[in-house]
Amino acid sequence: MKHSFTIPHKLLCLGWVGIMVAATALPLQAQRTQPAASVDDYVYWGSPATYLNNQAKVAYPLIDRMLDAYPPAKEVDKHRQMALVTLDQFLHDADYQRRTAFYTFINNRLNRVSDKMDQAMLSGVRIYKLYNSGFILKTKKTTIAIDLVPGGTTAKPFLTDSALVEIVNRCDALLVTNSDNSHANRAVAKMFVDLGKQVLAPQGLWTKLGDEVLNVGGDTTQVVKLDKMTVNVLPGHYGNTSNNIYVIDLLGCGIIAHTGAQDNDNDWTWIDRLHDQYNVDILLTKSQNTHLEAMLKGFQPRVVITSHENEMESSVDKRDSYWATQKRLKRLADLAIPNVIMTWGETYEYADSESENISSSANKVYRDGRIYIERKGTLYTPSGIKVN
Amino acid sequence: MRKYILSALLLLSLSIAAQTSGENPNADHFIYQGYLSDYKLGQASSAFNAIDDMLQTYLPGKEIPLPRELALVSLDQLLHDTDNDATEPFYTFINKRMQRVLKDLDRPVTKGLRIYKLYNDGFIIKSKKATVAIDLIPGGPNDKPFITDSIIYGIAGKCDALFISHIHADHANLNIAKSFAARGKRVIVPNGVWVGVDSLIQPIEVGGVETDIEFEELDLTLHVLPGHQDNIYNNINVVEFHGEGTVAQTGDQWNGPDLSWIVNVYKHYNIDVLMPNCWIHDMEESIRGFNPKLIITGHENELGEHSIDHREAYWVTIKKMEAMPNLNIPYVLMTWGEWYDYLK
Repeated sequence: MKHSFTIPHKLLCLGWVGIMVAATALPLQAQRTQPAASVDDYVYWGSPATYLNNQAKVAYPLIDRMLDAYPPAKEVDKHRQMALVTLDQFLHDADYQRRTAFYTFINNRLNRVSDKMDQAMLSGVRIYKLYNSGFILKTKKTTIAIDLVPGGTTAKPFLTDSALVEIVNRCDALLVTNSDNSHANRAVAKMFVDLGKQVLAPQGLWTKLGDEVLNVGGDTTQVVKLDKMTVNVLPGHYGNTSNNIYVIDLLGCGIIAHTGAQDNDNDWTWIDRLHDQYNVDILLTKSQNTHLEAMLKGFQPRVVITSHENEMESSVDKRDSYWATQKRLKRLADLAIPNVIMTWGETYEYADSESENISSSANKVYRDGRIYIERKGTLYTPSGIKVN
Repeated sequence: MRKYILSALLLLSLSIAAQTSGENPNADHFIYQGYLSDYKLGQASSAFNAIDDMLQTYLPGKEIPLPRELALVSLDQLLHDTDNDATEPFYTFINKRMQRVLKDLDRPVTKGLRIYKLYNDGFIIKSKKATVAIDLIPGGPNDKPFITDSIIYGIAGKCDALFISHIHADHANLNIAKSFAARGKRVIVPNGVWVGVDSLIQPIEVGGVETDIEFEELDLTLHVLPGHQDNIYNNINVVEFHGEGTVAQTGDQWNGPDLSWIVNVYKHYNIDVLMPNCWIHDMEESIRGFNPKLIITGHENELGEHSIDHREAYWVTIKKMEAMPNLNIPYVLMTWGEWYDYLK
């Protein structure tokens, strides 16, 4: 059959077809050949601030990947050490607040915590480290938060509201050691109260927030029995301010102590002897402490996990670092107390001696009614003296 | 009122000064409140040690594993913080690494080339028969060079010739050049540089043209290509180690018109390893012009007088290489005191 189209008509049709093909193909082509950044995009001459922002943008994801590849353990692997000391460098940048990469890093790490909290527990206790002195303890029976704070500012929190809600939903109770805002946050406490969950707080704090708030602590030790745990509230201090030291018996899943911001010379009289009263598995304690040695000797835990490093609200010189923690603990190596250095959003699993999983179990042994620390087959007294 | 406020401010500053003067009483506990510079020193020391350890574990190669990449970025961060400039941890770090080069230079090369990276744009290339230094300098100020005299002159003492790309102090050091001449070793410098200093310190005779120089005793030929940094002569040194490989080091090549002939270098020379300044003018076209089999960049983290925006980080080099995916030429990213064995 002969086509009756005229030549101009044919051209017009071809033109339309061409336009349609081009319209379809061009975006695909653009997608395929969309230029990556060019070499010139990485020239920062005259723009030091842009340079530093982009350096942070490159570094934080590398740190993140390295930390994931080398998770917390009793022996610090050198890869992990590399990641932590690099992190210290970036977190001791006086202009960290200008680096969007910082917020991406901390938000992502803290936001991941709630997902990790969905992993079931069979034995022992899983410890989650949050911002500052914030921890979550999860056993197969219960989940509690200690000193959970969002950090940062209201406009730019480190732990976002949505992430906080997810975490609070997964917790059964909140314990707050002291009233300083690096440990206590009213909005967080209210989230627990609104969900009918128990909050243990120092005397005088949030007294009108709800019946769920139980003000504890005082001049003597107080024992509070909660569902699936017993909490011993010890009368600590931060200067002259009350600081509850919590020794939490997770009823077969481990005994965990959290010292909050403990720092008071008069309290050593009783802290020194705590190991006689409590068989602490894990001590969660502030690393930046001139009395760290005394604290460890007092509790004689099976494992110490430090806290309060890189409190971003502090000045750079006061902002503690992971490398300094490592140095401090190395100095106390003779105590033979294993340590685990964790950063934001990480977890560590601990199984106590009664649990089936003894792979991460500790090294405290009893002989003739006394406590010794076993390390590599050798016995030491808690103060680090070798026993023949 | 104003007087009172000023007095109060004065007292406050005096009290802060008093607080931060003298020795840190909590140094044993690694607590640094009020002692920022001590903190920074401690941090730098820990970081440099960790970096050195990691770089020793993950050596230079065509792939950069995560731990090595992180170590390099960590180093970038340290070296882009001017508080760490000329501090003891920095000196310890760089000298420890250069000491290893000094020791390794005694290890024979049986085949191919061993390429050592030194400070800034400094390289040493060692073959079975020759050890050649390019742009070897100690770095840093004259009164406290980055690399100690014993190490840098020890390194120089193990080299058979020195080629200098251009006169800038971050590439050329007259005392180093003289040390070569004193040992009867030739030093090739650009036209007009150090004229008459020593008969063995030899400026090429004519500027702006290609010059070939034979080193029969070393079994190599030096081809000096007439590059420029802006308007000054910048020798691009193409060193042909007969039978072992040919390397090209571009000095501070930065000149638009030179690109007209640089794009054709590959037609005249079969370059094995190109060592371009990491900020070379028109990087992609320049590299295409040499068409090497391998790229090893130089000039990252020049400390000296450069502001941090032009210190050129290792991560920036990685990004630049990633931005040229069509080059299809492998690269090895090296830092101070490292070496890489190249076989044709």
